[in-house]
Amino acid sequence: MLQQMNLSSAHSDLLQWLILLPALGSLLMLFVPRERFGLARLVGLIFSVAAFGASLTLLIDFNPEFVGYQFFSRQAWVPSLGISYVLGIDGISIWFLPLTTMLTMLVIMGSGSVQKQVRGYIASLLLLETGVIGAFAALDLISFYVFWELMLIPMYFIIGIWGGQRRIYAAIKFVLYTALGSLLMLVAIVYLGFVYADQYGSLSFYLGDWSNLNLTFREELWLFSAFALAFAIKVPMFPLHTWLPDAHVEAPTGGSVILAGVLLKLGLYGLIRFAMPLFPEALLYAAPLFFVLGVIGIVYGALMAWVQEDMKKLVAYSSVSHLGFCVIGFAALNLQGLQGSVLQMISHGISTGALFFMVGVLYDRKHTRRIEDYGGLAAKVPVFAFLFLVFTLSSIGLPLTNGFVGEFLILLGSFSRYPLLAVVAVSGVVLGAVYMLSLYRRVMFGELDETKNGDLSDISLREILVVSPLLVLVFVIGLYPMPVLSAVEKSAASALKFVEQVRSDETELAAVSGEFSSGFSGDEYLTVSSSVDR
Amino acid sequence: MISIFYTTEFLAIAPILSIVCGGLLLLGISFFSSETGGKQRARRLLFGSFICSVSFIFTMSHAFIGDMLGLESGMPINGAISSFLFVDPLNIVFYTLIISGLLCFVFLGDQRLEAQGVTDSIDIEVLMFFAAAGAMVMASAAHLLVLFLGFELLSVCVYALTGTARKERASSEAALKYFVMGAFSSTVMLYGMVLLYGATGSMNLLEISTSIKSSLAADGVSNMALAGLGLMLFGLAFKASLAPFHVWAPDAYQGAPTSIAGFMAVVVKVAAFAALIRVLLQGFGEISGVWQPAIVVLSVLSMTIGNFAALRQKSVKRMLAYSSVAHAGYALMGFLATANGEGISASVFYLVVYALMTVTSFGVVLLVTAGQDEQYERDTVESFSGLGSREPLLALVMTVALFSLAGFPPFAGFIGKLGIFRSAMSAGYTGLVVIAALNSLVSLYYYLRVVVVMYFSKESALASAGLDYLGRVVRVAPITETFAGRVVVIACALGIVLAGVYSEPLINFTRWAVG
Repeated sequence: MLQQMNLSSAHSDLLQWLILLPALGSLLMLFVPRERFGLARLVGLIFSVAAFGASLTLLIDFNPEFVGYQFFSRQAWVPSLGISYVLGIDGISIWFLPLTTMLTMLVIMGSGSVQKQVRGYIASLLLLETGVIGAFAALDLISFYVFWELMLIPMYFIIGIWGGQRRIYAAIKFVLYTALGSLLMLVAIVYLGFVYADQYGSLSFYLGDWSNLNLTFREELWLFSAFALAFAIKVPMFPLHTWLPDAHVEAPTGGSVILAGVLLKLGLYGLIRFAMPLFPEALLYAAPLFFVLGVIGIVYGALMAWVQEDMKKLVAYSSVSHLGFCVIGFAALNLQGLQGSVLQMISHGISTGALFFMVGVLYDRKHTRRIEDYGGLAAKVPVFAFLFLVFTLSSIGLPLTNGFVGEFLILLGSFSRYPLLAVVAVSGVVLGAVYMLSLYRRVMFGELDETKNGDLSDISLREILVVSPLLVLVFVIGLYPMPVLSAVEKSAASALKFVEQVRSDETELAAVSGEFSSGFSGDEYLTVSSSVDR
Repeated sequence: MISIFYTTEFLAIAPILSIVCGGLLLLGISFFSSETGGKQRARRLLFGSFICSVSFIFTMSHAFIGDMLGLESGMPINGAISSFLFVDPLNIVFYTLIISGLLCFVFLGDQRLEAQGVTDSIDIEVLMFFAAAGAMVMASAAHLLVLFLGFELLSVCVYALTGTARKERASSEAALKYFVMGAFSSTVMLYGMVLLYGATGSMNLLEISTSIKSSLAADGVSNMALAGLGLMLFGLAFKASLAPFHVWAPDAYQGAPTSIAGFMAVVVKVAAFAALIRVLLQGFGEISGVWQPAIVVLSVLSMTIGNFAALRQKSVKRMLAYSSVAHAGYALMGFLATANGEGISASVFYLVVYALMTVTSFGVVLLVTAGQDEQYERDTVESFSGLGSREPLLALVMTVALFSLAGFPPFAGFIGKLGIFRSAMSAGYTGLVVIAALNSLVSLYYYLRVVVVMYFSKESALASAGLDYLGRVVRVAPITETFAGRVVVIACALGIVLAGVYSEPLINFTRWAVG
């Protein structure tokens, strides 16, 4: 199978170091004196910059022409339980590494507003970085699960300790929601491991080993449901999204940036990486449901964003809407859709991350996130107004900005599959413009309340420094998305092969059963059709 | 030949003997020593460690006694002592757990008792030593009467220990409740043994096993034997605090001094599980189809009742008591995969991990409440408020233990659950695994509640000013007094992390021990 072709290079060590480095940094925080905030920030910055450098080196060294996993390494971890530590990067995951390391670095640079237990904050961010990168790189299901859960603990603390008024509620809701999904996923993983042991006589949780598992459709559907629940909660898909606004609103700026920027991406990433090769039949069966939920998410998220009074909540609901686009791009199960979905995830990470930074800038100054407390700021803070405008437009998906390319590809891909629903989804683009521009209008234009906001100072050099890389990326990806798209293309195509395989099998079977409607009794066919009928 | 024989006889009982001698010597010291205070305590700790290491070294010999005599593992040696005790590698795990549990809680001590003027804390240590000896007898008993002997030695000592906080009504009440219920359960178990003797004509587990095998070949196992097994299961399930036989546990754990509650949660539970493994697998392994449904019921009830009851507790000790009921339920799942040793080794691994987590969590509860006065509502969840800023290290240790208890990677609790889930899955109990997974979600909620008060609570501002959640001044026990205890909990927390990140050696060890 394609999954088996792997390239291990000298840089596979670098990938391991990339995962280990932030964790070491967070361990080092234990030895930083409690009151030395500056020192803690410095150490954090050093480690996050090093991680960013490592991820850039990997990106430069990445060969987009190669199909399969690069920087591949496989080590035994707990051999007696069949657990190995397998890492590898392909065209889909490669872009998320620099995104993660960059956002973490920027968050640590901009952590000046956090004024309590700074050392714990930095340590949590670094540990979170390890978890996220590990989850993007892990190819053994148990290793993946370990990193997946590892992200949860630091994020829980980030929301719970440095969050807003209702932080405890938000933090617990976040953890319980995510854990509900992931625990069932763990059961499914253990079950798959057991099936593998049954069929091949050895223990393994390595994804490459699992791509040939023989599952009945019923089994596949159950297992897929368990995986899909975990990932759909993380995305978050429409009925399971309720934790997100709470988490976003209560999280500190840095937490929101990381949450929106990279954590949410892991849901769809997991679906593409694991659900697609493992359960292609079930995925094909459930794709229309995903698509519909995606469209609902787009429209619902946009409408909810429109009526929000809280800036952060507005951006949070806009995330639900934007990720709805990613979901339909994925559920279209074709190349444009998938490419667009991955690209949209990356640009959402950039523009929404930036928007949370911008909201954070305002919040640090006035300690309110209510839209009605602002107004007419454009005259007072021109530089800020300009930056905010750029990120607003990029979030809307204006051509030439990063948001456009992904959305366009997604709509292209989904139109060829579900034209009617795709038309409904387009309304999300329009609504996106409505709620974002109305946010901009209400905050930036109109009457300036001198008593409230007369003393507002413009964005500082440090803050500009934090968002400027994002500003550059908005236009770089908007003008020249080819490097991203071409890297994604090969891997997306190879992931789609699993689905295509099932699709062609089914059409063949349909043709066969049409011709010999009474005589055909293939086992596999029977299981498929009987389960579909239920 | 004879000398080898006597040597093995001696080695078979030496680990238990050294603990008993240690207890007796401590008793002697308490008669003649007039010293009090820190210096004497330091000497006692040194003495305790010495005794425990001697016992540990003798325990290690159980790895090769069987090989030395050319016996298959699990077979008793036909000697005066060793025909009554299993002398096999499995002992190493159980003895080590019991000895270390004993040592940990002796090190943790109990400032609260001393503050109350219970100066004879040396008696408490003596009783703990004897209880540990009983637990060891119980864990390796190959004969039902020896099992009962160990069971009673352990129980009587623990009844007394439960009541040692003499100035507190809750303690005496707990001791009385525990005693009455415990006495009842041991009577029931004794009756079961009698029935078994009537049905099989023997009290030796291996002879019982042979008799069961032959009756299976003839006309099936008699109802009398099954009834006997059922009643024995009752008694052991009571000691292991498996639901629905757990009702004593919350009261006893809450009323007993914290160090004793932790001692019960570790030592008594390990001994009960060891006895369950001996009886069910080495005695009745042939008819596992008969008792496995009962195990499924016990397991589901234990985790569900334990976790849901723990949700509503205000006292941390009570919450940990219910959580220990739930964890007994998880550990029991390994009993369902008896086809190879994997299930049991998963259970044993889980027990080891559980012991580490329990020592840590009870240890922190003990240290946190050590400095507080009597009138405080010591064990409420709120008494942990702001611990993150008051005692960052203890809070971190507690967090590790709690996340591990909830089964989060990369801690040992995760690997433990993974092994248990895998073995139950391979025996075809997928539904049970789903129930267990959902149960861990429930447990996550109440473990997180403690984390919330430690780190997130609004009182943390008060806490950094040295006040508790009601604005009273917190008397933190000086580090010099609690130093030994701190070392214990930190070591155990490191063990949790280590066994989670690098679990291969421990898994291999338990597999080898199970054989």
